[in-house]
Amino acid sequence: MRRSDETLAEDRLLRDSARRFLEERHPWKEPAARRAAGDPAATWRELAELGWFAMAVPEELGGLGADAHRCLLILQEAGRVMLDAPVMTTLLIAPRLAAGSDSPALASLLDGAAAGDVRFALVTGSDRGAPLRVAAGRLDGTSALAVGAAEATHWLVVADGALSCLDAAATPALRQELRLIDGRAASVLRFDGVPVPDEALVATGDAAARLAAEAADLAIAGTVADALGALAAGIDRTTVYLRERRQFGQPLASFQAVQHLMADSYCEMEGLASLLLWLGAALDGDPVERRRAAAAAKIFLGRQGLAAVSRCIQVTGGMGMAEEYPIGHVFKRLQTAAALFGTADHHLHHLAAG
Amino acid sequence: MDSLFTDDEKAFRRHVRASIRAMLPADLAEKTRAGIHLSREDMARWNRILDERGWAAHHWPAAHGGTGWTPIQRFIFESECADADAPPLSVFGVYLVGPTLYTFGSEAQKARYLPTIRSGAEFWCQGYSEADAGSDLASLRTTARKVDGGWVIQGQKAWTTEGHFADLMICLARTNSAVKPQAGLSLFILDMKAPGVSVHPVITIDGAHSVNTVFLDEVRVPDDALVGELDKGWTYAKFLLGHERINNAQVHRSRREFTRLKALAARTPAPGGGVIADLPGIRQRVAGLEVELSALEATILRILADQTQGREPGPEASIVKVIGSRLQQSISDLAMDVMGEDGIHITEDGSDPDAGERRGWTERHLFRRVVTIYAGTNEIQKTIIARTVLGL
Repeated sequence: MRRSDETLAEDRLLRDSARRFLEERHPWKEPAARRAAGDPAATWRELAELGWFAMAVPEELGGLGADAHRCLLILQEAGRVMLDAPVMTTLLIAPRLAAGSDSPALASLLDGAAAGDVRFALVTGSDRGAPLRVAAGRLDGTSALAVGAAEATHWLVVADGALSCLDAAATPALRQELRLIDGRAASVLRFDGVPVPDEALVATGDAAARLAAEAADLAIAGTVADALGALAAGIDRTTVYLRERRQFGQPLASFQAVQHLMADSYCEMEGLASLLLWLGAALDGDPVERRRAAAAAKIFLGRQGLAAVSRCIQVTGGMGMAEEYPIGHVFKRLQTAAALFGTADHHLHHLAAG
Repeated sequence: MDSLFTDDEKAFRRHVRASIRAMLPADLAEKTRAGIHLSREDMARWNRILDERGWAAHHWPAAHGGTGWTPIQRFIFESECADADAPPLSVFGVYLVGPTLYTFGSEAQKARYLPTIRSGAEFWCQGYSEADAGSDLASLRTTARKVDGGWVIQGQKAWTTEGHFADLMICLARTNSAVKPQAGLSLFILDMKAPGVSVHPVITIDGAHSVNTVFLDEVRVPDDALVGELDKGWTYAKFLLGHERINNAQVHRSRREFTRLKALAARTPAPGGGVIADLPGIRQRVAGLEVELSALEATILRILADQTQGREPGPEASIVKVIGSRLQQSISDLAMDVMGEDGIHITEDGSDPDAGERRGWTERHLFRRVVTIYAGTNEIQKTIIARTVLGL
């Protein structure tokens, strides 16, 4: 996974251009202001023009063939501005699952995704409701929170027995539309004997189980990348604030108690970045190591990552509590990320058992 | 963490693993498992064995008798040494003084001292800290006074690890009191057998003798004992501490000890039946520590991969000392909970095969209070991170 100077320079170019674009076109705004502005489909096509949805697509399928590390860099940038558009599944997960299956069900949609016309949302089972299951060509069960399902054109449904890609408009699901604490939209979908046509099947049997495991780890990687970006931006904003805000006649930044809290947050952010780096490399390797790396990153996010952003609220005082100031939203973005795709306790339990 | 290594590095790991297993005497591995402070003889023996293979100064450049390995290869070598329970090398000679001398020393100093550091024939100690100069090192009061043909050193050094069996000291002393504290210090090589040197043991809370107070009473050293330039000692000492940082994360030892702790927990009976390792609370803590250890390993590999590609780490390397030292303590905290009452008594019980292992854990647990203190306390490191990395 070692990156040459040349590869690193390309990474940096890509990251910088994504950052410039996002800061100019989609700077962080309060969720209410965000929802009022803009049309999701237009945003999506704009991001497609940047090549975001072709990057993870293998070259033989007409894409740019970027590795996981590079896709995760973009997702970190999206996290920095806390972008509402739920790009993770289209950018990272769908192309990689398409490459890992030999069915045309997904591959045939990748061109449309690259153009911004096809938008995927990942739909996974919940450990609370009836499990998602495909049997005899029919889908049953209740999903976990599916971020972006409402604005997606296609659902990538990870169910026992099959991985399928369903046309959202043509799928009769009972939808419960929800607003997450970080401002994004999510849905809980209930399927009662929904027919799954053969042409929607991406994989069945063992292949489906293998891809389901990969999808779960990819979802964690994307979620952690987004959260890490948000955390890094949060720490940046906090340090700027600490240098400006004065109390007792001196900048808050000059107080050692405050400095040490921020140093702890920095150590935790870097630990999370290191685990994401490992996970990014492991996504291309052995599934056992990939699983361990994903669990480690998700646990670290839920524990140390949340602790890191909590301290940012602590040191920014009342400002961190204000809805109009971004730090509290970074907290909500991380809290959301911590709960999606298995909490730290959930992964710790499995890691401890295994 | 295989995916973070190249195929060549994986092959290198297999090669050094086989070599170390073949070279390491069983009794030395046994002693390393049993206790935290090894004797000079044991450390010297392993040092000599490695030197015969050309691996003692493995992290030095080839020009000075090192291996010329990349930082990642050194990481692999050190991790294999720890996994095999090889004794640690004395940290002062190979890790600290060697790099200082080949970077700043004269040709004569390199020729005189580097070979015996590599072979383990001479041991070194570090004369930096003083009773009134710990974290605030620049306030040290030991002086070196110029006399005809040399210098006279007068003062007192504190917390001198291995001072009781070291042959030589690398000593920081004030040579100019007219300038600001950092600017008036110089670095000297001092013979521990010279007249005026007296070493007094300090017993630490683990009951062992590894540190000392060293009195320097009108100790005469020749002109060529000065390392580098006069009054540049602070720069050199900081260089030395920089070298210490990653080493002080002690990641390989933590990984090895964590593995052994899991094994101990898996054979220690739990109250009410079963083994300690199966208690849900212990399992969760083990899994949590596994995650933290992985974060530390991945962070060090990130820094070393950069170094391997010629990018030197900045002050952010301070984070590995903070994370690594806390983790060492968390592992021994868990060990104490695994052992329960059996970890708090010190009576020898020859009939219990795990008595030695447990005593080792208790000693480590007590002695490890020091790891968040030495080499710049964690509070100092956090201040460095806050000021130089975060710009606070």
